Amino acid sequence: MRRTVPLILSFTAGILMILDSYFKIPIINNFATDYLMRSISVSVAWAAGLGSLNLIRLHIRHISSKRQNYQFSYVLIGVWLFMLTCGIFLQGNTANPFYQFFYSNIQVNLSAAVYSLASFYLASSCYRAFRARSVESTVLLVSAAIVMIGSVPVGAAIWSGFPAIQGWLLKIVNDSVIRGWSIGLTLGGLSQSVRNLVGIERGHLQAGE
Amino acid sequence: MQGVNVPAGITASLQPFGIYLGVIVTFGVWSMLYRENPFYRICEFAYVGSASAHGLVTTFANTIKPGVLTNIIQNGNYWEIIPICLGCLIYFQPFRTKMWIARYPMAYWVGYNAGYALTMRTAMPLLTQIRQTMLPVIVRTANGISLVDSINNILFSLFVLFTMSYFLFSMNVYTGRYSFLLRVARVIMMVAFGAGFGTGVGTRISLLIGRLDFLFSEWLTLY
Amino acid sequence: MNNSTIWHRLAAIDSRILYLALLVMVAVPLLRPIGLPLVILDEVRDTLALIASFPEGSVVWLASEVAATNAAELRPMITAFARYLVMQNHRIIIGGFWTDGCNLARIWLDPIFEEMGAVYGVNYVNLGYRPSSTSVLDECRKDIINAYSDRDIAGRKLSEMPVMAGVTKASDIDYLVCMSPGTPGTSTYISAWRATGEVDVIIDCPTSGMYTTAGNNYQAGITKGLVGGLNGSAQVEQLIGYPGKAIRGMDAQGTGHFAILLYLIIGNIGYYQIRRMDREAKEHAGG
Repeated sequence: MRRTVPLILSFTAGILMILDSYFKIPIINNFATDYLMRSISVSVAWAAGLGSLNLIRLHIRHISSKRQNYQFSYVLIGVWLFMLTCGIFLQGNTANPFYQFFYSNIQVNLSAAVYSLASFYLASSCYRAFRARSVESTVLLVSAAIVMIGSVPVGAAIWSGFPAIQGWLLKIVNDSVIRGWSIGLTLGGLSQSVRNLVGIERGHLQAGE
Repeated sequence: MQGVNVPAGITASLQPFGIYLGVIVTFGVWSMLYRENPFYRICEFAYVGSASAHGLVTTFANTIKPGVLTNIIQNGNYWEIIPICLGCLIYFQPFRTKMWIARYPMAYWVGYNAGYALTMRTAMPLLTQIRQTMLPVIVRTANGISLVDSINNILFSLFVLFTMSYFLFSMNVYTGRYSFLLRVARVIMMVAFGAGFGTGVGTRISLLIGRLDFLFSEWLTLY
Repeated sequence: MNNSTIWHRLAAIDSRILYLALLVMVAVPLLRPIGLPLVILDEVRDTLALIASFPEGSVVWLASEVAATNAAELRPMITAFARYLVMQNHRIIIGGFWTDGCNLARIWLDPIFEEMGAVYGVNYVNLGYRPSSTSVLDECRKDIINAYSDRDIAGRKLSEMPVMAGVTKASDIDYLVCMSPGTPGTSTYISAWRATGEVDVIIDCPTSGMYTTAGNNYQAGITKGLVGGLNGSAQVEQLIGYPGKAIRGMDAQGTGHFAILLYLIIGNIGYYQIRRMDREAKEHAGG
């Protein structure tokens, strides 16, 4: 019951997808589109709150056990509750101007600002940690330098050859390496899917073990 | 399901403060660059809370609400209650003794995606990529043979082979006098890593440009 | 050992000075752009020509896989493409599987559509966010309206909109323009629609960071167009004659790249100088 039923469920869903893709059997094709795919869309949507609820559970625990910096958990829960209440109960939900005000001015700006920190940390790490210690790392550095210079107008202004070399590096060397990885990854993914389908790989069924 | 309406006057009176809110949170986050401080922490926690709530709200407004109102109530697709229940079983995950129930939806999704991957959806890009790796060794153009394109084609195919064989762990192809090929493969991949790093720098710098553009154009209206 | 050489001082420099220097180097050209000419790539030119080859009234799915985190690159991109698509008089269906995607498209694009005279529901529609990209796109292969519960982002009926006339399934879409900062992104649409033969023309618009992987699909002919990063956005802006944020940002992008290069060079020279000095000091002590 705890293990066999999920395995049967998993196998049935997978095999239906395969049959739908490779065979023209109207009853299976219609079932796959009308019920299987629809049920996936619906069930995933209803499960979307798990992460959010776990986050809130974690922060309630922080507050109740008065962990270090627990005061900030009040901010998180407060903002979460406010946005959730506005988004669910206001007319038009996300389209409501009141919700849009907080979304576009706080959420969007916070998001962009947090990620912009990466540019500063990148600069610092380039200065302190990126060392040409071997032939390979020197090659990496030179390649990166050419791509960086070649992709901006100032690079072309310095020497018109930079964009051409950059283009060659990207189109011939980079694309071929990515192609190699892509083929390997796809083959690996296929074998992993077979293992999942026939129940050899059961990592996702470990919950509550 | 009409929902509560906020008087238009309240929203309109808030609008002028919108930009300042954006500026405050931007500097709040950037204050971390000077040193760790409570202002940054508040912004950080507010961001996580707001992003998490927004995900839920968007899913509710765009998927759950129309799904229930249109598909189930209006069109009478009552069978959709079954996947709704299945999806909701995932909420047993936090409860230690009932956690196993959460396996049911998880198994269903994994099975679907495993089946999805074993169809033409994966095979077509794979086969196309393999076909497009076998490029003509001699490239003929209207003016005769293009030496540059021919060499590039040969290099492209060789580089793909080098890269793939580097990851052949089940048999060692680079032994004895062929061991230099291992080094060649590694150097080629380093060039690709470098290209990836170079373009990655572009993305990071763009993030900074985006923020500065907001401060200069929308807040200070310098341009 | 002498720890007061210039290299030692440079190695011990406060990170905040590095941050400030980067900030200044990016900010100055943003305020005072030099306006260096852009190098227009063939692939960008070909992409715009490909879009122009579709007749008026063609249906385009504009995949708004964007978020505030990649807005700096993809906002100019999606804005420039939206302008171009309206100029071609194509019918635009905006969809997206990133939580922010369709909402940001509404904030960024609606004013542009209004400015260009495009009417909501007639020339364009925003379908709104859906989780589970693979199954929703699979559903769209049979019935787009049903996959989206007959509702757009604001809860209006899709089946009553003229823009959706004759568009019942994915194969009714003529081509797809996909902003792609990762997954869900172009690879999702390739698996769902390109591999199954529903949509043959996919135009990939990745961020700079994703540009290296996007080239693989473009070379193989799986995607038919490729415009990448802020640089690509700037080229589109120039080609369609609407200079915007991307063109303005390109000089700043250049100085930003040079700042990073400078840091790499100084950091490495300093590292080797200090290593040499340490070795010499050890030899002195030993000898």
